[in-house]
Amino acid sequence: MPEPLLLLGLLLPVAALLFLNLRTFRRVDYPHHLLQPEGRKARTAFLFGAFRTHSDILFDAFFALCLAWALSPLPPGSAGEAAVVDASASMLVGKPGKRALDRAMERLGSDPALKGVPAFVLGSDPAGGPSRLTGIRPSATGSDPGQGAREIESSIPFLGLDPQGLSGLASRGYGKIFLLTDRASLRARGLESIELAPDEEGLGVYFSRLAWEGEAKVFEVSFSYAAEPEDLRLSVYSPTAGVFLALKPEALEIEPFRGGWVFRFQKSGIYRLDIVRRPGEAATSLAFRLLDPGRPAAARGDFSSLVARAFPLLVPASRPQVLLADLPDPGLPRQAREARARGGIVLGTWLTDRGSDLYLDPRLTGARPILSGLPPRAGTGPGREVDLSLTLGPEALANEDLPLAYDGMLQSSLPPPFLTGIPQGGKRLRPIDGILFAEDAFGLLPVNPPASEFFLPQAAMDLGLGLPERRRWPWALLMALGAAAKLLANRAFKGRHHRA
Amino acid sequence: MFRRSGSSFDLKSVRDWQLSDDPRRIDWRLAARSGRLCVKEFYEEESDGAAVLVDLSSSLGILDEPGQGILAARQVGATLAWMLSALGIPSLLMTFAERPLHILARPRPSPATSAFEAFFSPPTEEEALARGTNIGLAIAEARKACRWRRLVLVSDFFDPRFQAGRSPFSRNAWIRLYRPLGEAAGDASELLVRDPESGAALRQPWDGAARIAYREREARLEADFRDAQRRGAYYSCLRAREDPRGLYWSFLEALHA
Repeated sequence: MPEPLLLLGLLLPVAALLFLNLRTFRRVDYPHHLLQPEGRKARTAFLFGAFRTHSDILFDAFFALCLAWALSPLPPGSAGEAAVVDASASMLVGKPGKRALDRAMERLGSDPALKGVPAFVLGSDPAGGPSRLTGIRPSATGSDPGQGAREIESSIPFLGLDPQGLSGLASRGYGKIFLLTDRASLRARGLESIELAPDEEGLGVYFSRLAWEGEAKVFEVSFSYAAEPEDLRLSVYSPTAGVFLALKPEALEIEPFRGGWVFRFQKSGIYRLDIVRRPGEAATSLAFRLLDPGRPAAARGDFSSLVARAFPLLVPASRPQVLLADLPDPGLPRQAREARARGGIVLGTWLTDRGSDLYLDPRLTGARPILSGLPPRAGTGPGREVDLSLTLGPEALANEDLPLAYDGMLQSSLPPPFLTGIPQGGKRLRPIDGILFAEDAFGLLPVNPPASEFFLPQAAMDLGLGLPERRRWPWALLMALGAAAKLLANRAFKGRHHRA
Repeated sequence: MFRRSGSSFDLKSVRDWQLSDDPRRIDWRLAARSGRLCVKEFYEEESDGAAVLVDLSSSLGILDEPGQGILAARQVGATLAWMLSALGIPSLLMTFAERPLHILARPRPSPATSAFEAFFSPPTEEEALARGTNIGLAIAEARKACRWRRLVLVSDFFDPRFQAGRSPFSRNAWIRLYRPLGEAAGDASELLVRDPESGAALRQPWDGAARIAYREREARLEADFRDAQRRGAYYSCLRAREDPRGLYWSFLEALHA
């Protein structure tokens, strides 16, 4: 049913009630002795008699009308329109001037349907947090859309697309949103996606695994691809030069496999993989950081010292990044603070004589069942100075898989090889030689677009943008005024009698 | 309310002096002690009678189908008068509207019903044509017709001039026949109310405010009777089509209290 008809349908019950109420009129014989309040007739003589009689239902009908308008969806065309340019990494794929971003800017200036429509860019916020909408100046879409595209490209980090950023438009009263994107991956009420590169297949390359192979003493980085690219280039970041330098062939080993490659690096560092999909296209880069596998560590307490010795990658150091401690440990807090300041982690162990039938968190044990004592939650109770802790009873200590629990904790505390979004509240990203970098306690940390930007969407995602929101305060004010009028009318109709 | 009379020196009650009382009856010694004007009442030696007044004004018609409301009032009044007569209490039975209509003069105390049977027949033409209510005039006429102290008044009391506390009789019984407007109005939201006595029509919104106003006025009228009841009067309200036997029992109990 069309929405205007639906709206009228909402009012039908109100009209029916009003009609029924008008029909409930009756003639009766009764002495007027108890009926005619003093002055009532005079006070309301100026009012239309029917209104006086039916004021209640009329006011209620008015309120129902206000509510119906306030709650009903906006009829098509009654809400504002907005155009949004997708500022995700996939918009930059393709030959210069033919990229989806270039086409979007050109479309904004040429499409009659988008003329005069406020335009925004939905992209990552350099300050971190969720995506934000940035207005596009009308001049940016004018005579030189390429210039507009370059301006946007230089001001916004093109990473992933956070569709929830669109809901901000709905709350601003826009009911129709044109999303200029390379490939429609979203579906929502009031959202019309304009596909600018429907035939693009995407870059189709992304990380599949990054790990330190302890036996071979090499880093293994695997990539998977959907279609083999035209060219690959590997480079390593030189902190002294501040740029990426081409990697010498002897510094890595490449092992192709069906649908991907395994790169083996012998040294730690920040590496960049440039992928040229087709001849003439700009390269797309993915960067990753490989840290030395050995981690400066220290142990406090007999049991934690034993654990530290069982893991060869934990290198004893006076300034540890991994601090193991037997709990309770009164001297732990100061050292824990220092370790955390270096980006480290504190792992605590409670030893107890008490048996228990609880199991350790399978995320820490690689899904192997390991009995544990009652695990206190990290950050609470007497062990609150530790980040992760285990409480081990006799059964847990007798389990030969116990080291897995520690290994799980150590793995979970490893610094990430790269980020796929901008951490909130962190420092602004630094673009260095085509790569965006954040910073953490271990130094520069590359920021890559998420994997979803490199592969075609399997199916459009349904999005709950929320219906266009009407400004509700005018309706609330109107109903408040109506309620006040109703009170005044009631008071007037009651006459002096009720004030006695 | 009513006691069979005894020795004139038998103290019946002490009550507050009212404007209608003879100032000579004030007990000044009691007044000096209590600071209040009081009168002492004594049982009379000779039998005290009762004036039974029955309102037949047109407003009684709202109690029932046309004619039936007035008939009900007549029957209630006649029944009460017969009960008094059967108990040996002389009575005067008078019907009234704007003025006295019919007086059954001093029926002799007797258990026989023949003297009251006429009241159980449909109203006469004169009674059917009766319009307004003047309770004050009827009471004054009854006062003239007898010097008894007891008054039994059967009415709907739709007379704005009536005040229960101003009866010249010292012992009053108010029997109210009543039908609330809500029963007649049903679920209507607007009423065109015709006054059966004046014939005037009034457009009356029957909304929440009007219902509250009606109930407040109704409560005020009821409060007058309750006040009179506290001062020794008997009051009972008989709803339209309600079985009057409860009223009769209650009246008898009050008579012998």
